[in-house]
Amino acid sequence: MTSAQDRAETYLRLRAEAELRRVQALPRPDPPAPPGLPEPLRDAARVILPFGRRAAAALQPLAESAGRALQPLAEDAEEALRPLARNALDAVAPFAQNVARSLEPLTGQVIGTVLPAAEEAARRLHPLAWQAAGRLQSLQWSGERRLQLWRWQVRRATGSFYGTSDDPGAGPGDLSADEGLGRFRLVARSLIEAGAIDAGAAESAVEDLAIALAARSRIGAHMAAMSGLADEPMRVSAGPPHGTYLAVPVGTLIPASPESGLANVRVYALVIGPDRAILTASGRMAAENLRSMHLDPWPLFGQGHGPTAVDDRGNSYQIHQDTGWNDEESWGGILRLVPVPPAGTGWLDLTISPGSAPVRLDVAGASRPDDAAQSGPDAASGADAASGPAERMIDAAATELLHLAVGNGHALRWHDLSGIADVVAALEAIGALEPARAAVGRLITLAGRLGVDVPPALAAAAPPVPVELPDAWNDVMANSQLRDGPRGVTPAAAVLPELDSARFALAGLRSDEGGADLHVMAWGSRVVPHYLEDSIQAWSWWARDDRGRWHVAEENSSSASDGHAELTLRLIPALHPEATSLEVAVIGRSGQASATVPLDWRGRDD
Amino acid sequence: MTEPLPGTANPPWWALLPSAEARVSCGEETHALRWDQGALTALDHPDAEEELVLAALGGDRPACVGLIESWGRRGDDLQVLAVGPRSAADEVSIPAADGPAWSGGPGRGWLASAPAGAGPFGWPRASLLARRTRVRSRGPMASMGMSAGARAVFGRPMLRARGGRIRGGADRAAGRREELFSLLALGPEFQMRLSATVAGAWGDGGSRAGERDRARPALTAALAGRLVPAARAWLGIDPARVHVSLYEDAGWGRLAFSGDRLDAALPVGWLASVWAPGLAVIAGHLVVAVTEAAWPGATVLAVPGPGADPVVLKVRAVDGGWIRAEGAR
Repeated sequence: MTSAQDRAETYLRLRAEAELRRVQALPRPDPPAPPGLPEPLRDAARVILPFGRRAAAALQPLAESAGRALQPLAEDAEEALRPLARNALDAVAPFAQNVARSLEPLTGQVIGTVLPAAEEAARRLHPLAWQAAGRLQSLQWSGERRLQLWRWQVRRATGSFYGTSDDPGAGPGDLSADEGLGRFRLVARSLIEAGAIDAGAAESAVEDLAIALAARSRIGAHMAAMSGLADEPMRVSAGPPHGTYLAVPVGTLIPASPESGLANVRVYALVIGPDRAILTASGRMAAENLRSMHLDPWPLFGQGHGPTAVDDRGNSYQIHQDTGWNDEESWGGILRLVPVPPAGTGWLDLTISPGSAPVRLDVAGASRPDDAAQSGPDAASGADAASGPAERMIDAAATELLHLAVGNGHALRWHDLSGIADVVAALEAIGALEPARAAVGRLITLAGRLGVDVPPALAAAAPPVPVELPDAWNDVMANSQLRDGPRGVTPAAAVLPELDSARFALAGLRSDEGGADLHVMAWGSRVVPHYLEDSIQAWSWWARDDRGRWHVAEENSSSASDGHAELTLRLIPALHPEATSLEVAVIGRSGQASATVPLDWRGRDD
Repeated sequence: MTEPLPGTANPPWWALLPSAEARVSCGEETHALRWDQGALTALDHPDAEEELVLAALGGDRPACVGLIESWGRRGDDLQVLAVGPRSAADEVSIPAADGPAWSGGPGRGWLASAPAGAGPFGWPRASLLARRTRVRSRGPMASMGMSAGARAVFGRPMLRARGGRIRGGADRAAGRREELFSLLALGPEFQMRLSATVAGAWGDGGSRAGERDRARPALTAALAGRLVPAARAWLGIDPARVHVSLYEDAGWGRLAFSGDRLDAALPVGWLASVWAPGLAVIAGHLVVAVTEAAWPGATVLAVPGPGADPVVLKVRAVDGGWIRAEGAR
């Protein structure tokens, strides 16, 4: 163990001791409840749900009318929930208990009316929930952090009733045991990311603290059980599978089967990796088949045969829906080809529905990555080339802040920098901050420009001279109000050079007046997002169109499994209306990888 | 600042820890485990060594024997110090076993246990128990008479899935947690003794003393976690103002005061010989070393206050605590 590693582990373990002391000074909580629903609701659910499923099928018309009645509520839900959040914690808990108590004796009466409506409401709210989740995810807010901020909001709101809103203790730094453990894990991950500590040592410190807290009934047993699992991806950094990666632009609009819930399907791109082959696609809902949405499973491509493909060697492929989303008007998702086309495949003929004309995909002419090009710390990117992982990490926090400010300014009110401040303090304490001090300066300058509070620990680490922001950051802020983006879709298919044991492939782009959604396929254990906890961003995304306009990108939604992830990035501000190409760069621990795609607009889907 | 005194020939680390006993569920019966002079024995399994061999060959492993084995396996495990109590007031109370939440799989858990009998500090007198077994654990896998590869918790295979295959890291982590909780569930006296066992293994002359370099961060934290509450009880000092390091030279250690800051360097053996028996703060003194031990009496080196040199105190165990037997000299 080097002296630097020794210093970092000692810091982390002493911090764990301090955290344990801090938590033990908190009021002892009630015994931890099992995960999931509160017990009264769970009991009610156990009784109700079996009947409810049958009732839902029988009372579909009632459910639909109830759904229509709830639709305006759904549309306004996001706006409506925001003020409700202030009182939600106080209001929901007794309500939930009352509901549970009330439902139990009334089970037989309510299933005929409440559940169908509820199911329909849930169905209608589902797309909204996905959108909300996507937005929250793009903010990189974990469940714990959301709860923390929500609680902070509640404290502020209730404080205003009682005239105590200026209570200095009512800030987001007032962490529960769970939140403190999350914060500790964030710091541990950050020290790993900065190369300051061995992953095994950091994981051990996190697990030990989790178990120590659980053994004192300060956190639930499941939290301790999860601590090791959550850290496994950072300890085992598996790279992408070896083999060929291809990205084939498609961009074709194909009429769907008359039985389908879709009027048409737009296939953006085909991405082939060693272990999977994926089509990115979207579609417009068929008005005449809207009722099909209520069938389970939803017949996306009709009740008969689904899409198929054959290649130039006569091999046949089945195509299955993998992940997807939909609202009342459109559908988007991922289709998987089974099996994976072998190396040397020349073309694929894709048939979306029986009888429709096949679309030929030129596999032989696909984009292949040039791993020797456009990779390294000096390649062009939105930010100045980071000199090391700690600097990149802090710049990533600034990028997140920038994206928030440009994309959803009101979210800045609830965005706090205490997490990154803790990370900076840790780096300072172990003597690893110096190479990243300029990044601290950039973050502080940006926060000042945006009116975001700078925690004292962050301010204390500022360089002596104020730091100017990179041109790209200024450009993004200057263009933040533009709404002149082209409306359309483009195949945008390219495979980026391998970076930090990860492989990314661009797989289609959809632009609107305020920005663009970019589909990205990713391989490697480090591409899997950590949904359940505070985490540093492993990757930052930037883009620049050929008219010189810079764009910052954040995850808008994602799904991940087995060292593979499918991401949708939201690029803001709007693409230049006359841009004809776009350079996309991902910045990682050791540098960046980029690719340039033509903006070959193929019309609008909406 | 006080200067280090010449080194003293310390008594064994367990010298001021009297024997303790716990009763555990073992099959259909309740059996006794006894800790005495650094070793844990299963009183109701006179042929425990044979039972371990049979268990290694696929037979049932009695819970008592599994606990002895676990104690031996964890007797030098630094996670014990990371999780175990920081002071007598630090209540480590393992919740009732609920299987899946702790272990990640159904059907697992640990057996509740409680100290039995009564004696000084609530633990039984050694004279109450006469039976001896051949299976004892004095420390890490010591005197086990078995291969280190054999693993068990409460008589059930720990690392094997239902199908008999070795499972992944999550199960191993769950198994380790479960094993540790099973030992902590033996109660506060055993928690202190297990902590002392680990500290003794890493202290001077211990089985892991030669590997302290790589374990220094964890040992430093273990020391800090226990010395900080003691310093607070001694001086009322803010924990943030106490800076702890591992002392690895000759002598008892070093205490340096600067303004409101205390820099303390003590050997890891302090945890075993001073902290674990509850001697950290006696009569307004911070005890830094035990020089003589003859239960229930002891002679200790203790610092009366900031900047003072250590003095020799005679102390005596009375009614679950320690009192000063005579004045300092």
